[in-house]
Amino acid sequence: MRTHVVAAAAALLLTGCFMSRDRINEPLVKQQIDALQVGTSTATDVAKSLGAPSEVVQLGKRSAWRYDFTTQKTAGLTLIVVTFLNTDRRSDRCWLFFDEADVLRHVGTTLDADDTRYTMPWQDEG
Amino acid sequence: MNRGVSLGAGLRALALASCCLAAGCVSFQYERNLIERVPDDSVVATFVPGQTVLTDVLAGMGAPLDVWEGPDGAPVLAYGGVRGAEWNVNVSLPVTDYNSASFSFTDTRSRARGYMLLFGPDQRLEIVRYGLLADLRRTYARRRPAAVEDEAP
Repeated sequence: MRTHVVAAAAALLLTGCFMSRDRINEPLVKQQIDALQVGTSTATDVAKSLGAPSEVVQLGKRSAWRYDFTTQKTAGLTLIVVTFLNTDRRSDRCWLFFDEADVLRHVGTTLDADDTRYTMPWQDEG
Repeated sequence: MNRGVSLGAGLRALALASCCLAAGCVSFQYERNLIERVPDDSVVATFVPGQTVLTDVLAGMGAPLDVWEGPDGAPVLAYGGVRGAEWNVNVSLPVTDYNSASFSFTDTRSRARGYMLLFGPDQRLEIVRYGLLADLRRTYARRRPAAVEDEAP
């Protein structure tokens, strides 16, 4: 009996829950993206408004710029030598497509970073 | 008899001590990853090659996870995410003084599974494929000639 009590107490003392959050870049501002005019705004206008992109992709004589903000939330439970871990990572992301004259032609935006959740691996995605 | 009881208690103590000591270097981990939004199959199903244009795809699917240059310079859009869970056994030895957790955009793109949409020069959708985005990129990305070094002095 005494052994069981000691073992249970040890297990409780060695149990740990943890949470962590990581972020990359600054959150995208929807109003700044919406203010850009397809067919009018130029790459210079975009750079002045949004700053330097995270990535520039050459598409023949055209180009595409990526802006993003990523949030990752990790939650876990450790029971002595076993750890249960859940990682949820989502982004705000915006791709801007320019033509040969560096005029903005297409915009694609996804704002999912706020949907990132702390959950355990056995819980629904939420 | 006393010796038997003593031996049993000793084994239990040894097992408990081993468990505590092993926690520092051997551990088991069950990890689930929810990385980015998984593309909606029903939206992709509405796209028709030859008819759907780049603007339609961006309006229906939002920002792609990745964009690269297709074989003729036209855009290729990739939408995908990671949904998976697995057991891992971790064995660690103190070989460095410092380490830290990290993640990157490149890491996400290399593990993501989803749709690749290849457009033509007129910005019309030509090809839709589903699979590991890293493999699709290797197949459908434009191959540029390697740089040639000038041997002149």
